[in-house]
Amino acid sequence: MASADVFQSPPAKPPAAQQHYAMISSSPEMPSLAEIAQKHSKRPAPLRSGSNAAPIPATALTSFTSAKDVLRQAPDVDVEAERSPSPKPKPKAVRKRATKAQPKSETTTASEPQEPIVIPSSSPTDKPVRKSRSKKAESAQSTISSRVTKSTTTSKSKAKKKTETVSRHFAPTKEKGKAVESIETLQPVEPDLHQPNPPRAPDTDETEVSAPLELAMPRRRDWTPPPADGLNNSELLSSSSKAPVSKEVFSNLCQDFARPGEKEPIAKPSAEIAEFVKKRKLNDLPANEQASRSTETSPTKPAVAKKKKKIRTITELATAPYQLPELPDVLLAPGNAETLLKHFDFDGAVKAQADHQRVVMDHQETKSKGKKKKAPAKPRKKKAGTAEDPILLSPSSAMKQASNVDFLFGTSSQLQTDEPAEVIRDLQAAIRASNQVNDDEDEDDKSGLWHKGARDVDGSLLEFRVVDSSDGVEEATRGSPSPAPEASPTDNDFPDIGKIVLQSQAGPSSLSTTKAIQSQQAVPSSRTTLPSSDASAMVPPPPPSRPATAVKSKRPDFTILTDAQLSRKISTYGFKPMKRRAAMIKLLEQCWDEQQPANAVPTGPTTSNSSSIPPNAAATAPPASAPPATATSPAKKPRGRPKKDATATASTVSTAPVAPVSVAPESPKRRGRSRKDSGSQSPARSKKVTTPVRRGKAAASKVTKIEIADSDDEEVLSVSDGRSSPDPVFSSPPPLDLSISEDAADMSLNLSPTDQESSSFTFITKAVTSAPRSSDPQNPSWHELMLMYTPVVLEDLAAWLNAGALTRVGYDAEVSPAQVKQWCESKSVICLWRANGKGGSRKRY
Amino acid sequence: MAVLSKPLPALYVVYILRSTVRHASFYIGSTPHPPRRLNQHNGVAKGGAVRTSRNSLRPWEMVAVVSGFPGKIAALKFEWALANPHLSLHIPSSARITVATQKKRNGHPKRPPYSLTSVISNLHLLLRVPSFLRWPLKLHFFNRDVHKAWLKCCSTANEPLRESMPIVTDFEPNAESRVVENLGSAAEGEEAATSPPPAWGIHALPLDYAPLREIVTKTESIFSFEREGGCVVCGEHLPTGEGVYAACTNTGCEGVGHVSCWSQHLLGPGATDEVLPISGHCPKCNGPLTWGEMMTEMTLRMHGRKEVEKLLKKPRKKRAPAKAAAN
Repeated sequence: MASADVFQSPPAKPPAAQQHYAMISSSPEMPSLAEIAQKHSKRPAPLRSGSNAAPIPATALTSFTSAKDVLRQAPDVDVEAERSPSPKPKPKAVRKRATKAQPKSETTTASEPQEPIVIPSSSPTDKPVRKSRSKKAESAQSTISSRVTKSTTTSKSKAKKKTETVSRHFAPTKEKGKAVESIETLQPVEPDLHQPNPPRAPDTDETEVSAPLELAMPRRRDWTPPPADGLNNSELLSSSSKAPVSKEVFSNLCQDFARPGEKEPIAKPSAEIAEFVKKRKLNDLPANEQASRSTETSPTKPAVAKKKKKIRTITELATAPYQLPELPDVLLAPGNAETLLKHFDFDGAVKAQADHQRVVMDHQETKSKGKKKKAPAKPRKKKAGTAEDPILLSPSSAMKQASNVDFLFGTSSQLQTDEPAEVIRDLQAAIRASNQVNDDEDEDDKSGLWHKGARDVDGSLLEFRVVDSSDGVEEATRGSPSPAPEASPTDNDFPDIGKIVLQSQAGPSSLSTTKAIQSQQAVPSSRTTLPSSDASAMVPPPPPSRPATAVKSKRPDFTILTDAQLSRKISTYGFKPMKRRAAMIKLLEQCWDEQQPANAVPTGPTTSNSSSIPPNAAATAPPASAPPATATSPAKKPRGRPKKDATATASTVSTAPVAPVSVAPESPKRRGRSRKDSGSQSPARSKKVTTPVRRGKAAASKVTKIEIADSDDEEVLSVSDGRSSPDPVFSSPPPLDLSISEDAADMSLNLSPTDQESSSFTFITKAVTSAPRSSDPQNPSWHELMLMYTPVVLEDLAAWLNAGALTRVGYDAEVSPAQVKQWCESKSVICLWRANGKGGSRKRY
Repeated sequence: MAVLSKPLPALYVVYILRSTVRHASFYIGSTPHPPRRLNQHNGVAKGGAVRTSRNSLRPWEMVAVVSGFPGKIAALKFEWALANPHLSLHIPSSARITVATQKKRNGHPKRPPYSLTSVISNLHLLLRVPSFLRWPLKLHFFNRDVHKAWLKCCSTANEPLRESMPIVTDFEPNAESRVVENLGSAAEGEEAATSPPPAWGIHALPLDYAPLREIVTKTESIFSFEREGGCVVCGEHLPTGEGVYAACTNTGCEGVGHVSCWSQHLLGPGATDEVLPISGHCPKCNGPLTWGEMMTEMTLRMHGRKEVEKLLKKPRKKRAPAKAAAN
């Protein structure tokens, strides 16, 4: 095809000629962008009118073309072809002519960009890639770059592809650019001139490029609009009239943008397009070019850059091994096609990608090979854990490691002591052991002055915290002969079930031997067997913390419950039902935590005791004699857990229904029970009985208060559930409790409300209808309002009913606005809420 | 206490709008002025609903109307219930007809699309629901197809509508004249019948208190001249301006009594559990009474001085046209 010839012709052009073109394009004479644009817009018409120009395809764009347009026009065409839209190429062609005629200064500028490309050719692998980038950036001269790379890389397949792309470019460009009059159009007329040139050009380009590689001017060229276009328009027109417009012109134009020395005119058209159509792209391109240049200038730079990169963030560190291979790929990329692809991607030309995919795949394969080599080395480094590539631990493994580390806290002077780690550990173990013993003693002691001091006139605890602090102080004074305590924070933070069990086991033993400090020794021995973590845990966070953690661990999993169950439990705490499940769970957890501390406090001092004491033990209860520690802890905790756990039979069952309300009476019983079980074991407790009783009462009083709030009706069961559920760890699985409680609660809920409704509704009706009629027409009674179909404000009506209207009728309970609403709706009474959904209040009715 | 500052509206309706082009398109709304609202829906006037703004569905027609709502709030309640039968809490779960099977993006149940049968059956259901059962509602059908669907629904419904529910049909005049089916409909039917031929359907609905003019005139005279006398029910003397008194709406009957006494009487001895009467007979003249009408008149008298004056003025100035309209 003639078109093919034309394509070949542009490369054939002598480098000098290309340079001339480039010079023209760079010429300062160039008109402003606006002018150019105007010219461009004008051009299409003349072209169409021109006899030769007539063949302009319908798809050709008269105005600025977008990437989409380009793609549409030349779907099959390579990226380069796509880039060369019909209208824009014209200006380039003009430029070329102008450049030829115009001074060389312009050519130099044009040549500069091209030069970098040439350089890459000198450095085969690395350079070509870079060059390709630069080319793409400049004018999407990917074809040129690809050629260069091909030649350099000597990868036949790539070269073939490149050539293919080139040919395609030419063909499409011709088709598209029919309308355009350009030098190339002239060239086809004068095929000989152009064709011979291209072969020469590459060599010349390479040589030339190598020398002036770094010239910055060409970039600017891209920025500046094609100057010669306006001037050359007349020429172009004439040329168009003379010879059929060919896309080659565009390609030549592209050459101007591309390296002057390079062979391919094809690249030029793309550059032209970029100029006109895609200013943004051009803007982006210069940056790429710069980058490419920098890389090109120093062929070894890529490696250097890699080395230079210092890993400064964890992310970098983690990703470094994986990223490294990529860098070489980019640098090494044999084919310019890849770079081109990238550019095309920007343009959104998927098709172009598809065309180049094969090539890319080949490149990648080669790259991957290279990467593979590199990759293994890096992993090795990782294994070694060098400073450059330290070993990255997974969170879990890091935790493990951390758990293995013993932390020693202390002042600098304390830490300076050269005591061996073993000594310190032994010391800590001994301290823990002694502390435990002390705890037991402390409990006994607490029943004494400390406890009395912590009580209020009524015998209720002022603040359990106080007790804890006292314990802590005691422990600190006693237990820390060595000022620096050791602690494994992880252990403390996360209570182990095993630990707890161990503690519980240890507890009874300690209880039995409470009197004698001798037990200390025994305890330590038992503890020494325990994992170091347990022992370490004991020291720093004194007893109070321990119980708290334990309690936390026991908190029931509210997420298991259904919404209905949640709402029920919330109601047991005296809160209104909430819609959001998450909110309910959070509230429940808060409530539980708030209740827990009260429980925890008593347990705190007696952690070992409370935990150790089996719930069953509590069953037998002489109320009078309750060991203080046990009494306190059981009073609150036992209710729920023990009952559930409760292997204990009838007694537990009976307590369960009583739930919060009955807690007070029960607590003493439990104390008694615990005594029976453990009472024989611990005489000390019996001594303390008096104080414990008080405690129990106090606790009971508190509890009772809570209960009052809680106790509305049938919720007793649910309450029991809530409390019982909390200790999943020790006691029977919560689900069982839940199911039982739920069923019961559901039943109650279902039955009671209806009954209540029916009764309350009749009473409400009575109250409303029997109310005295008003004597003031402007202030009618509720009944009269209803009869008048006046919307009734539920809150007001409920308030009125609760204010005495119901009691007057003989109904003692109160009704909620919601109930009133139900009543209203059952009676067809128009009702509404005073507060609207958004929290505002209604002002008009 | 919220004192109603306004009398019960002369007309407040919940309407079922259907596209005359696409009969499967429905819209449910409420308005005190159906013709105006219909114009809005059809784009004739400003302010139509977006849902009805599509030109391809216009014009719309009101195929059925529930009138007699004792106020905007009541009408909105009913409208919402009718428009969201899958959500409304007024519908007991056991009786719910429309059940949402899908969820909207926000997680709320998605309303199944309307259909004539679904809308009509839900309307039937809502008129039976305790929340609206005792409202002084009245049902109008302006389209034969819809009325057929209604009849079919009535036959298939597992529970009949309350007997006293007036149902009026007012089809296009070229066909038959409207059929009055029920009790309270008598008065309405007369009105509709008397309206000039072009006026039918929603255009025949009374937009003001004109139908009450006679009654208002009568009660006006009773109360302005303090002829209340004793309570019709309890016989207690009715001191003027010292209570809420309702009057019989039957012409010629000057029975007046306490509202509560009236309600007790109308409810009868058996219905001690109910609050709102629906209808009954005057103990004095034994004429039929509708509680809604009585209350409209009473509230108009108590809170609608302006309206009363306007109502009573008009006839003086334009007696002829008013009477013509009335007749």
